[in-house]
Amino acid sequence: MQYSERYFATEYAEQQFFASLRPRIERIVRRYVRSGDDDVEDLTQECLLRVYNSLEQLRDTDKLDPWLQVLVRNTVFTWLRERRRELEMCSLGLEADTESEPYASYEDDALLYMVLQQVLQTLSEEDRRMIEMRYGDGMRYHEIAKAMGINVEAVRKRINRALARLRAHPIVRAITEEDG
Amino acid sequence: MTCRRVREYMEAHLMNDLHPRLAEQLERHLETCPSCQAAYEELQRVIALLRRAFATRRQSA
Repeated sequence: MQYSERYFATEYAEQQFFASLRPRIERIVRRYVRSGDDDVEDLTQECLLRVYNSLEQLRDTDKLDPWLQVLVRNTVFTWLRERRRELEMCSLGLEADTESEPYASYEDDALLYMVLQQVLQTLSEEDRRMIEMRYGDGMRYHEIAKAMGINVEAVRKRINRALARLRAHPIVRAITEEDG
Repeated sequence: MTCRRVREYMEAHLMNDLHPRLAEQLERHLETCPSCQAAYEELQRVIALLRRAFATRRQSA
């Protein structure tokens, strides 16, 4: 049985369903992408196409929302990866080779760093510096306190507060929930 | 140690930056408190993510 027969009684119902999905998908895309309306529109369209092509894989219609979130996130991450690759190729004066090997772990981590840069922008400059000293340079509280000219307790509190903000960010939540 | 104190010191514990006496109290609390245990594991994943991302930056620098 085709998915359209399984899910929709009429062609009109199917059209209504996809029309209602568009704003929901766009909202999820905007959590990850802030580069501009054209990119958001392209990605929303790409996600709609993927939903259309893979809706039959959704066994339980009650789980449409989480399924949709995973689909959108994967689509956006693929897009970010391809965009980064194109930029790299352009800087070398080459065209992107779409047939080469998939990204290795290091390159996935580089993508992760790029995505996290966006998340870190939600913090103040001082908090970003502290987070970088703590997790990038492995500095201890008293070392950060000395570098920033504030006391150890203030460092501990600010790092905890900054971490709480990062933990609440949708991108971080999406990645850590996937890992956990 | 109370849940509130445990949440305050989790980050320091995960980064080996907590006094051994406090670390012991925190670990004892975690053994008996599923809610703090879950929060601890979540924080562990976030910190691992940040360290991984910053390590990548170093490699590519």
